[in-house]
Amino acid sequence: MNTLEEFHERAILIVDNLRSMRDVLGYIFRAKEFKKVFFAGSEKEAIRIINTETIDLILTDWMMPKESGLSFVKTIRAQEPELPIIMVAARSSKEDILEAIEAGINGYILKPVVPKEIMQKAVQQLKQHKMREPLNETEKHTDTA
Amino acid sequence: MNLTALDIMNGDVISFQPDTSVREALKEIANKNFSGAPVVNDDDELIGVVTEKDLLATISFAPNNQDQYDQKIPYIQDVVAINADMSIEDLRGFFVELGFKRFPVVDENRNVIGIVSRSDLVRLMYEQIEQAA
Repeated sequence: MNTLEEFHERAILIVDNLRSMRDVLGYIFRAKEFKKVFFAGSEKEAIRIINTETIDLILTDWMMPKESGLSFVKTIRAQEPELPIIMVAARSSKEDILEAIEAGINGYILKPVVPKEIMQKAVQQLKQHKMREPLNETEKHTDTA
Repeated sequence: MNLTALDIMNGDVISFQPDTSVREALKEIANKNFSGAPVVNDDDELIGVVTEKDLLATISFAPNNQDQYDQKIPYIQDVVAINADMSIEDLRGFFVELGFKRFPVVDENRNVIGIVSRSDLVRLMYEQIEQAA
């Protein structure tokens, strides 16, 4: 899909404690020729990657080994206010989704995952993220003027 | 001709609600000779998959213990479903790279409209060979 070519260099971090889900989500991006897909099976591993790689989008599970995905989202949000985070979860109640939004997510995708939905929401976030970058630069110039 | 998952899937699919009993699921799956089935909510949206393996793991072979068959089916939600308009080439990649034998197929509303299996894909490949001959 040529329309996705502009995103092929964007870095995706997939956080899920289940290897099978990491494989599925990773393949959805690899199949569309994304070149930088990182994987973490725990919060600790995810934070290490975020601190060492330039990540453009995080997809995270709700269920995490040591803390809830919500705590993880709050931690990342405090560290990286602009980094888009999509929660991928089986929980579908309005309360769950509101709680995740309050924690700082940018998008919510239900399990079982559907490749088309994953790609649509990821691209939507990558487009928005890309648009915000020049704004930040402008603000920097304004601040330093 | 741009074929999609919709064109080769099997639309004859049974699905269960989360409160379906193990007894009912075993009966349906055995009669249809399926190895699993989608689980849907009240709006017919896919919420998981129940497999033969998970059903067998839930019960023991004890014909005198009929109560065990009354429990609700176990189902997994950490699975992938295929969008109906996925191209055959993309679908081939999912089978090859992920090693699954079948996927539920859903429409835009996440309603299950079929099951697509590796054998459906093999059949299509064979038909193409026959047509080209």
